[in-house]
Amino acid sequence: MALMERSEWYDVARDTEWTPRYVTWEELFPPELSGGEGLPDDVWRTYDEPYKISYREYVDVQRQKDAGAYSVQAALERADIYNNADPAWISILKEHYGAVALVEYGAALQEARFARWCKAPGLRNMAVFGMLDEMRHGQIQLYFPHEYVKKDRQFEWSHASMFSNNWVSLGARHFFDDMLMTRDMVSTSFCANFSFETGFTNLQFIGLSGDAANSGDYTFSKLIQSIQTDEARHAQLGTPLLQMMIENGQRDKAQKEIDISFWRSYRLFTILSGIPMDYYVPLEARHTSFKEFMEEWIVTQFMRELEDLGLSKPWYWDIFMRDISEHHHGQQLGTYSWRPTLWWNPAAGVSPEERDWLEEKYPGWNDTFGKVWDVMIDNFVNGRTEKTVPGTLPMICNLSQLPIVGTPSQTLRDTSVVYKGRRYHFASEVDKWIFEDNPERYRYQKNLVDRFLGGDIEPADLGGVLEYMGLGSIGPSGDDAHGYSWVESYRKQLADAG
Amino acid sequence: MSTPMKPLKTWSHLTARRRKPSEYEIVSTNLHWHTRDAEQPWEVGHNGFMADFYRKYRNQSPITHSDWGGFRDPDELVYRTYNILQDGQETYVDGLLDQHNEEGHDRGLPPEWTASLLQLYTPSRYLLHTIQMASAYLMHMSPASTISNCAAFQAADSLRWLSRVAYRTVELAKTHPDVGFGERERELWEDHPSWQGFRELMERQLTTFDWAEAFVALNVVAKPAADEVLLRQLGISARRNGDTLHALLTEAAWRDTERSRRWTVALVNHMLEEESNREQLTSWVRKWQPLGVAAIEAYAAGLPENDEGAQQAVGAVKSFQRQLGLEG
Amino acid sequence: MGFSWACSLDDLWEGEMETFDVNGTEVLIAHLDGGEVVATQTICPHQEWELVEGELSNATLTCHAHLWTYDLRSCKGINPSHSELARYPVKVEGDEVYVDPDGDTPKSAHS
Repeated sequence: MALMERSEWYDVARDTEWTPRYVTWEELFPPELSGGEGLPDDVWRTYDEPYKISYREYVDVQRQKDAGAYSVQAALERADIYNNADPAWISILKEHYGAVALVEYGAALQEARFARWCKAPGLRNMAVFGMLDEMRHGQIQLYFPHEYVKKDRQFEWSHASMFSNNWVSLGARHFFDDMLMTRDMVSTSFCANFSFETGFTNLQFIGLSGDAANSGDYTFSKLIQSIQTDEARHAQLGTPLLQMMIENGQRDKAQKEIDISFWRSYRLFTILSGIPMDYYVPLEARHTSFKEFMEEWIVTQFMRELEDLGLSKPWYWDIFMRDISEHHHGQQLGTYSWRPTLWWNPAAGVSPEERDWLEEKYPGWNDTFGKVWDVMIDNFVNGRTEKTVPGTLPMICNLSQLPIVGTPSQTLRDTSVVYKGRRYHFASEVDKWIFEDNPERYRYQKNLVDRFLGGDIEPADLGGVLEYMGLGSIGPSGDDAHGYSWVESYRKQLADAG
Repeated sequence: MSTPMKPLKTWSHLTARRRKPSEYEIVSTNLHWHTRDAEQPWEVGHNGFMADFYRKYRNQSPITHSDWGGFRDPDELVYRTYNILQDGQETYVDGLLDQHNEEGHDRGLPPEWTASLLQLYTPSRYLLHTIQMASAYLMHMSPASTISNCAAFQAADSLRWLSRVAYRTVELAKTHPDVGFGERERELWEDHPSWQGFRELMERQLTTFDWAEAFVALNVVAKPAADEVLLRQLGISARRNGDTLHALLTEAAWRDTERSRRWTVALVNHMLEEESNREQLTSWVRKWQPLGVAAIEAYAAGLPENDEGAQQAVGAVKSFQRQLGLEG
Repeated sequence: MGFSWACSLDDLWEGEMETFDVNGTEVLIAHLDGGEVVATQTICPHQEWELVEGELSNATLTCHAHLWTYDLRSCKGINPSHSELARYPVKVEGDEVYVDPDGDTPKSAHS
């Protein structure tokens, strides 16, 4: 073989640091964009990404991956998942693509920022592959749902959601703008590569992949698995940077950024992964609960990774550990109640058998969340469907932009703060802490309720709010995934009892 | 409570033309949600550095267009097809390297020529890297995803050839260990007169933040200048010095150059749909052209057996700009 | 503790790998091209994926989740190179494979 191994020339390819002469180093790498202030200048060229790949290998491996993923799509079109799968599964697809496709493409811009602004030449090269990866994830996750657009208008959200004022979009945009696009390169890498990608994407792309296979949707299962295989390359970018920060006396700064981004990621995933995993996945395909996934991927693995690096658990660890048994149940109650505001059709997920599953996975569920569902079920059974949809808007967090929910029968404290004459409400102590750490970053954003009360939404009623959120124009309002057929068993119980 | 709505044949923004969309259109168009509000690109840090940066250098660029999203890559490349295309090209390049290595090609290179390769070829990884960085800048600052994608592939192409230069640097060092391959490139890039023109051009380009000016400086002036000397003129010198491998590699690289020029033409044409842009674009070409010409002349002065190299390269860059309707 | 019977080469042909229970410990055993038998941990040090779901090509094992690769002859990481796998002592007597599952401990590595 007369071709050289990658290892023979790889170091030359990432040795591209030079001393500028015609402009200054600070002009070339402005601190607000490049970050890493206080780190010695000679540290950047020592950056060493653990997982290495060359351009030549990249285009080969990725071509093969795409050939696999797209061929599965072609084969599975014949299986007609859309008509054959449980309607709740289709809702998962709608929620997923609407929340994920454009955001993944947005992450390509974040990687492009690294490729330009990072002071470490090795990372700049790796970020080019990261940028391409994220373009792949954006494009393939637009291509697949586009196949369904002809069948179901709600799939239009796959492309449209990030342009809309739907409340889920407002939360997602706020999160991704905060994590990916508005911090310096080094901080962004901690938020995006470390907390978000190394930690949480496993939940959605591995956890949900198993659920998809169990539900018979092999296209989706293979697709998101294939996406996750790209992560090893670009999720790793942040880790050596974290080590550099810690070794150079900036552990506390790094810890704080992890603490902020970890919580924000977690709360977003309660809606993106938590609700589907515990309520939408058909019961026979539902093996692992959201909490169990969280315990495996986050509590055990991600924390081990943090501790290996010399970082600590976030200060709010006790709050977090309680929250993973509770918060997403509250969000499910909220989203299901306000189902007309969703771009997908939510499943209630509370048939008698499903409640047994919930009680087994979350002991005490029936005495808390179950009680609220009892009232809702009573209304359904007695034909008072209109009473199952609230007529007013929920409180919305001024940090996460997501509804403020709690655990029934336990006190829901108003966590709020007044800053420069305006009162801000928060979904938790942690959200408040993040806000107060940098109020100038967050104070100007108006959440949905602020907009409603401030007269931005006309007419100022539920119809006006729905229109403002794109329901009825981008696609139809969400409604029960199963057309309330699950209520029948309760109706029968009532008839039997009576 | 849910009102039935008719399914669409494609994304709503593609329905108006009543034509079946291509894969390219489905996955590439209208993806920059942060252009929806010209005043507030982001929903955090409304008065912060990044909001100001995008407002100033993207949203308030002097180059304007009512429909940036209407731009189309003439090659209609998507991620999937980019890999197919470049995997094939890389297989070809592997073949070239493998075959010439088997034949002991490098052993036959005369010392004057290996000295030229050290002076003019192996330090080019720095130049390619600056083009990579500059292309990544355009990727995240362009006002339309269809423009960003072209820039992203251009960044990847730069990394492609940077990698091949690194490969050749090590390979040449094996056969010619005393020339300085793999040791002197940074010093030559930073100090040798051949490179100072390109270094100044690219350092100034990299600190030009208006996205449209950065595009003109890169794709209309700097990259054409670099490609003309580094690929075409050094390729001519290579052939005259019996370095067929180098000549073939530059020809392979030229395919990426041609693709870059195709979308550059398309984007300039798109910009010129608004006549008001012409004067600004032309003035930028005038501003950057002297740096481009100086870079070519400094570099080409060292080209062996190619006295007309500078003149040819300057002429070719100008001819490309004439084709764009932007004469410097 | 010492060697325990793990499997027979009837169950594990050349070019194959399989997970076996060896005296209460799950062990991945690979029968490499050329005949060498290697025993290692069942899960990838990276993120706890089952290595048996990966691909074995000559002595190179590629984890299916994130394409981390290992050289089973040395049990060292190829990519990334800082990673490594446990390597349990192996004895082959005739067709019978014996492994000492206490001879090493499973490794873990972050990205």
